[in-house]
Amino acid sequence: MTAALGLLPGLLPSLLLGTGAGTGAPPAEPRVSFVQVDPALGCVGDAVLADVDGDGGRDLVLATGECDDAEGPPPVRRLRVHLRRAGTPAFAARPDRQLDLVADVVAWAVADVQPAPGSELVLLSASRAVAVWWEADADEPRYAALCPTRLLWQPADRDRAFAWQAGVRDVDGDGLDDLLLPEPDGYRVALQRRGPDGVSFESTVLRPPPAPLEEEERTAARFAARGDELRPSFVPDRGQLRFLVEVHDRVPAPRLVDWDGDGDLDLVALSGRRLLVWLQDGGAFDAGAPRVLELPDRRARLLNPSYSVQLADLDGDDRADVLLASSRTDGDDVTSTLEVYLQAAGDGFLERAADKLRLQGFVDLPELADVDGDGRPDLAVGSLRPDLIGQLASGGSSTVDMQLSVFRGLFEPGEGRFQRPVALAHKLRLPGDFGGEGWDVVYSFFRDVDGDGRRDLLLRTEADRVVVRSTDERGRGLQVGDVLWELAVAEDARAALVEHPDGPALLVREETQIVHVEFP
Amino acid sequence: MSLLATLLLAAAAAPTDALAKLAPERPVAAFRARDVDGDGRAELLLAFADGGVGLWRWDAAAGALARGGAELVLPEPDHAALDQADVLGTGREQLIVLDRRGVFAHRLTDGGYADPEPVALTRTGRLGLRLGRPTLVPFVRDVNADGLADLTVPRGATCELWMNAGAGEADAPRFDLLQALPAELIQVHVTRHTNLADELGSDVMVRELDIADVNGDGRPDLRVRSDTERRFHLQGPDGRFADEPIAVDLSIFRDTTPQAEVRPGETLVLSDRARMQSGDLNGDAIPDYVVAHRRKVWSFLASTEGPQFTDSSTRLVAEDVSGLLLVHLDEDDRKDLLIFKVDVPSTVELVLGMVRSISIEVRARGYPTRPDGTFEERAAWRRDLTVRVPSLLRLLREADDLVERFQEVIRKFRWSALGDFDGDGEDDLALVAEDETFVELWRRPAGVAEDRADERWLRQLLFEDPDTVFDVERILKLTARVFDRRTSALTGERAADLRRDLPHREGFYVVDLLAADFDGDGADELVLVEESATEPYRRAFTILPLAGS
Repeated sequence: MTAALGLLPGLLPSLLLGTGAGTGAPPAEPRVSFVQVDPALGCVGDAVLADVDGDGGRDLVLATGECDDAEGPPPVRRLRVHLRRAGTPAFAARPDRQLDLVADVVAWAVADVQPAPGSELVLLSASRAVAVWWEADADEPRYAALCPTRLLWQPADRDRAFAWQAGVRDVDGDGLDDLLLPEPDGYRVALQRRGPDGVSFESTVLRPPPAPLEEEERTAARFAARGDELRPSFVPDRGQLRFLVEVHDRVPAPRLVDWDGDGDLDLVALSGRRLLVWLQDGGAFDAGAPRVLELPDRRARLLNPSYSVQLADLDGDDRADVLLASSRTDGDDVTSTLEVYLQAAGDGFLERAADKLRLQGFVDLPELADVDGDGRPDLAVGSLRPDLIGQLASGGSSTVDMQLSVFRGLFEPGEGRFQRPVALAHKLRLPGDFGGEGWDVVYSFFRDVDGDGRRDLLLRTEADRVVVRSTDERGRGLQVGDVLWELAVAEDARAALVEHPDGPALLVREETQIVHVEFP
Repeated sequence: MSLLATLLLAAAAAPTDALAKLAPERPVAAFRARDVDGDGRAELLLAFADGGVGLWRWDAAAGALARGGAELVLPEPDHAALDQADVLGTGREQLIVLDRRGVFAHRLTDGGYADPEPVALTRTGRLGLRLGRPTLVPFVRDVNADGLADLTVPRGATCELWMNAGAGEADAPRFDLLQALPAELIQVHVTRHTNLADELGSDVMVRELDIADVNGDGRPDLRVRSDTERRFHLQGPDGRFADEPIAVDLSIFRDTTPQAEVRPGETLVLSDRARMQSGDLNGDAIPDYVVAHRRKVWSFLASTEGPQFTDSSTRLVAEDVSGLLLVHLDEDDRKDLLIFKVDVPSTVELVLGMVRSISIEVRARGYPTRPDGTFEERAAWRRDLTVRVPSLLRLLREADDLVERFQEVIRKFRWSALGDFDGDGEDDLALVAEDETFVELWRRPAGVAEDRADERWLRQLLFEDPDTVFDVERILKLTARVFDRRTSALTGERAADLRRDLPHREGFYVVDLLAADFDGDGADELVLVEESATEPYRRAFTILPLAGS
C-alpha cells in the first residue's frame, strides 16, 4: 500500500506538540514547500530529490506531462529543476532549469555522472543513457553519452517519462554513482569510472536463467494479461484484425543488497521460487550463471494477496536474510505466515526457518524498521481479518478494523526470532469504502520526528488527512501516542516517502502541485 | 555451420512414420513453411535467435531435410522484422528484412537467402521498435489490391505506409511514402518494485492497418483511428488512397444530459467519450456507422460515396449506456443495436467481496433496425442478467481447483491445421488431441461456421436462456461450449476419417501446427512444431505425411 496524500491549497500544515506519554523534546516545525505547475503546461509526474548544483542540499527535480483524462494533443514532456533555498519554502515555484524531453526518452534519473559539481539528469531511451547538465550561467545544456543499453521499457510513453531513480546506486563503493538498467534478458550493471580521459562506464549484463515454459504457454488458446486487458489469443489466429507487432518483456524486479556481508552490493532477483544471486567481487560482477537458492513453495497459482519477499540483514551479521509472507485459507478463516530465513555462514540458508510468525487475516507488505531504536530491525505489519470485514454486511458497522502490529527483532547472528508477545498492537479504523475514490491506506514508521529515539508513525487511514503520531513506551511494550503533526489532504493526491541518508522526506503529488515536507 | 554439421542435422533420426525431423540445437526465433521458389515443394524457413536464417527443403535422395545454400546472417537480429514475398517480380519469394537500416529484399541464392547484394527497397522506412529476436511480421501486403506488394513499417507511435509504385531503378521497385499514420498502439510499462516478488515489464502491441471496402466498389480502403478522430481514405481507380480523407471527430457528438459519474452504486459508463461501431444497417452491404454518447445514439448510413457524418438518425435510449454492439439479433440482413447497462457495486460491497460473493447487475437491451437503417424506438429484446463474482476467500480456498478446471477448458481448444493432406485439391482438417498423443484428420470438413451461428447463440444466451445468472461454474461451462462449438463447426460433427499416433519427445510440447507439401506429391504434410519446456525457443520440427492412410 503506497502513501497517497494531498494538501488543500492554501492550508498550512499544523504541528501539534505531543502530550501525555511523549518524553522527547518538542519537535521542530517541518519545512513545507509548495511547487505549482501551470496546468496549461502539463501535470505533475514523478519527482526526485538530489543535489543538482553541488551545494550539499537536496534539490527537487520534477517531471511534468499529460494530465489524466485530458483530451487533445499532449503537452511537451519536461523536467524541471528547482534548486534548494535557505529558509522556507525550500523551493521557488519557478524552476531554475528546465529541459524539454525528446520523443525517445523513456525514463530519467538524477546521478552524479560527470566531473561538474553536483548531479546531472540522466535520460534513458531504449538504446542508451545520456547525461544532461548546465554549466554555471549557461543557458544551453550539455550532453554526454554514458552507455548503451537495451532498456526493458520501450517505446517512450508520449504522455510522460517516469523516474527510474532505483537504478542509481554506488554499486562498487568507490564513491561514484553507478547505473542499474533492467533489460529484457536481465540487468545491466554499468559501473562508473573516472580517469584522465574522463568518465566511462563498464557494463556487465547479468542474465537470469530461463524460466520453464508455463503450462499456460503450451496451449493453443491462451488468456494473457496485457496491460489492463485480459486478452484471448488462439493459434492459429484467424482473427480479423491482428497485431502487426507484439513485444512482451518481463524481468524480475532487482535488488542491490550486501548479500554476503563483504561490504559491497550484490544483485538479487526472485524468479518464481528461485532466489538468484550475483555476487560482486573486487568491484566486478561475473556475467555467468548466478547462485540459485530455492525458497519454500508458498506462491499460489491464482491469488495470494499477502505474498511478498523482502531482503534485510535481520541478525546483524551483515548478510542479507529473507522475510517471506504468504496467506492460506481454512474454511472462512485466513491465516498469514511470516517466515524468516537466515543466511548460514558459507552458503545458502539455515536448514529451517528461524522464525514463523502467524497472524489472523491477510497481511500487507511488512515493513522492517528499527521502531524502538535499539539498532535492530523490528517487524511492522498490518493485518485485515475477514470476520471484521463481514461486520459491514450486518449493517451494524460502517468501518473495518485493521490491526497494526510491531514485533521487536531479537536476532543474533544465525539465530533468534521476533519477540512475542507483540510489542505494539494498534487498531486502525478504516472507513467501509477504504480503497475507493483513488486513495490508499498507508502506515509507516518512517523516522523519529519527536527526537525520543523511536520511529514515529505516519498514517493515512482517512481519505482527507494524514497524521504523524508518536511511538511511545508503554510498560515493556510500545503504543501509538499523540498526534505530532497533521495535514488536510485531497483525496486524489499521492505521496511517496523519499529515502535519503538524512531520513525520509515526504513528497505529496497533486495534479498541478507538489508539496515537499521535510522533517528536521 | 559446417557442411558436416548441416548434413548431420539434416539426417537426424526420425520416427519411422515421419517424413523427416529437424531439431536444431540453437534457439529458433521464427519459422514458416511454404513454397518460395515455385517448384511445387515447400521450404521450411528457420530464423535463429542469434540472427542466422536458413531454408530447409526435402532431399529425396538423403531422405531428410537439408539446408539449401549458405545461412544468411542478419546484421541486426535484435531489430529484425522478416516477411517473404515476391517484391521484385522474379517469380520466387524474397526474404524481406526490415530493421533500423531500412527494408532490404534478399533473393534466393543457391537455395538460401544469403544474397551477397540484397536489394534496398527503402533506406528511410526503418523499424522503430526492438523486437528482441528475428520475428515474422506481416508488413508486406498488397494494401490497395493493385497486385503490387506494399510495405507497412511500424515506427512506434506511427505506422508508415510505403506504396509500391512499380519499376524503379536497377529492376527494383520504387516505394513511395504515402503517409505516416498514427499507429494504434497499446503500451504498458510496469515499473513497480516495492517487493522482490514484483516483476518489471513492458508490453507493446501495434495493430495492423485497418483495410476494408467502405464504399462497396470492391477496392479496399484505409480506415485510420487516432484518439477521437476517424479517417477514411478511399482508394481511387488509380490504386492510390485519397490524400484528403473523409474524417469525423467523435468529440463533437455530445449528449447534453448530465454526465453519469462513475460512482459506485450507479451505472458504469466506461468513459464519457463518444464511441463508434460499424455494421451494415440497411442491407446494402456497405458498412454504416453508429456513434453513441451517454444516452444518445446517432446512426449514419454510408453509400457508394463512402461514409458520411452529416445526415443522421438520432435515437435516445432509456438510460446511460455502458457498452454497445452491432450484431444480428434477428434474421434480416441488417445489424441491430445491442446495449448494455452495468450497475457497479458500491465500494462497501467491493470490500465485502473479500468475504462474500458480489452480484453485478447487467441490463441488456436490443433494438431492431428498420429497413431504412434507423433503430426502432422501443427495445424488442430486454433482459436483466446477473454476474456473480465469488468472494476472495472462496477464490483463495479453491484456487488450485479453479486454475486446473480453467486449464482443462483451455485445453479443449485443440491445435489445428487446414491443408490438402490427401491431395484431392480440397482442404482437410487436422486436429491434435487434447493430450497431444494423436492427430485426427477430417477430409473435406463442413467448413467454418456460418457467420450468423455465433450471433444466434449470443441472442439465445442473452435473451432466451432461462438462466440469467452467470457465475464461475457457468462461465467455465460456457467457455468449454464455445471451444466445443468451434470444433464441431470445423468437423461437421462427424467422426474423423483418420487417426494417427504422434511421436512425442519427453519434455517438449506442441506450440504450432503447419501444413505444407515438402515432397511435391501434391499432398500437404503436417508439420508438428514442439518446444522444450525448459529451454525457450529450442524447437523440433516433425514432418508427417497423412495422405494415403
